[in-house]
Amino acid sequence: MSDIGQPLRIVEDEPIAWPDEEPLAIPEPAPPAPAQEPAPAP
Amino acid sequence: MSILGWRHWAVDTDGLLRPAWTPWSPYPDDLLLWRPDGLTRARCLRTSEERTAETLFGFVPAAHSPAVGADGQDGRSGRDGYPDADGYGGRHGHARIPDPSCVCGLYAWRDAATLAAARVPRWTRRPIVVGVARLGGRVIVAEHGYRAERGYPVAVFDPVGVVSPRYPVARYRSWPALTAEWRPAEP
Repeated sequence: MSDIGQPLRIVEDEPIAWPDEEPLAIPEPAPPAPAQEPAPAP
Repeated sequence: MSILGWRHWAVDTDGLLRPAWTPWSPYPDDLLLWRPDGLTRARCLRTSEERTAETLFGFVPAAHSPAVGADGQDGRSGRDGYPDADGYGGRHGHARIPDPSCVCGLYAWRDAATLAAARVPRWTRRPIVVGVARLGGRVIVAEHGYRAERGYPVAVFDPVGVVSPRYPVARYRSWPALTAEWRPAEP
């Protein structure tokens, strides 16, 4: 498959990383909200 | 965002992805291999061959003087009855791979349609699969495809399951499903 045609340009250092090295895209779960104290009955 | 390219792979007896146009058996087992566990880096085969020849004979045989291809990818047709292929390099090494004056690098077509219209490798009896590779590092962008310094497979059309489960790739039993979900990114 050498016939990819004439070179058009060179991209230097196009970023690439093995998936394990990429930052986790899913945000960490937020800490649970503190339990609300029951309001005193009127 | 790295570049997505489309290409053929040959599948060896262990289900590992090898260059579709470069015979890998004459070389060390891990030289012409798309790694299942990390980035694959293009090698310049011609450079290493010339170094060996110069060490043994003190000169580079004339038959090796034209540039030949590369990585475990694909190059021009050629030597010894085999199609040359990915990853060979220029004389006496390059400052970087791929080198514009050589044919080394990890090869891929720019889109699925170009891959579908391309000649299918016939030199090996091993299965040939097609798919998508993510490419990066130094990338030579050509009219119909790329030559890249580094890459890894991300998706394969593997209807009969010949590709090793060690590859963390998306596997498709339908070509339209593969092409619908993966589109090349313009560098």
